[in-house]
Amino acid sequence: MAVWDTSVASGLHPESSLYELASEAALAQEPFRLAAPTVHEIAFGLQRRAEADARFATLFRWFTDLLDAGVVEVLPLSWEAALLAGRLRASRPTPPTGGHSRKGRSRDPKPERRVAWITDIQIAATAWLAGEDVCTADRGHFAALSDAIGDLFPEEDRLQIVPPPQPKSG
Amino acid sequence: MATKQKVRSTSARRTGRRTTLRVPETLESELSRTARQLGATENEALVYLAQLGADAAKRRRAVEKVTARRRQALIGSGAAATGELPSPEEAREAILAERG
Repeated sequence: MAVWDTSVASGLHPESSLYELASEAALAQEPFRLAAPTVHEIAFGLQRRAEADARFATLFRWFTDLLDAGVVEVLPLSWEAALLAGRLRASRPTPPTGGHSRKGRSRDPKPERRVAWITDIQIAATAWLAGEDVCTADRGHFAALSDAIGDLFPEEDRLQIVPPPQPKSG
Repeated sequence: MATKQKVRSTSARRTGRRTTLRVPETLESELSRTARQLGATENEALVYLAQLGADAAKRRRAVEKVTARRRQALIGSGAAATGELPSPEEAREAILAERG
């Protein structure tokens, strides 16, 4: 069961097919997984808007209840993952150009994008150490991280990247 | 024998319930080592180790109480999930806003 990164998990919503999928997986005792840094990113994104818009506070509550109920499983950022994340960050201090960059020339990315990059590093480290693939819509970032892991551990399998689940038709 | 004499001279008379117990084999080496270190009898070393264990259990219970209270403060805080929601697109945009 792949670990959903933030680009995928941001689609969790009471009215989304992704939530339906997650609920079915949880009922089958095979919940989808999120890395703890993704929970951080979702919580930040919702809480920041919740101050001015109560609808986001409601969604934050729903997301909290979702986690508390174990509908998705959260992989903690272990010390081993933190150790690996530090090594990955040292080898790839900035996100790859292109990929998620709108103009494809972000040599000196904005601080916010650096934070997103560090989050992706932590997600990749968590997933790889758990022996899981990463499910992402941001192939560029995670392909670079898969390469970085391959450079560090050439004897091990690389981080595998899988596309986001497709919404059910009908 | 010297050790025993030392123990007898330093051990305080204990009050409290007397009991008989069987010492697990897995504890034997630690019990002997502790008794030697303390210059005490193995009975006294057993009581000493039991006190250490009791202190650790007390600390663990206290920490569990705090972590449960703090977790509840975190999980239980915030709005009730009864109001209007942003659309899935709005939610996704808010979460991914800083990714550019």
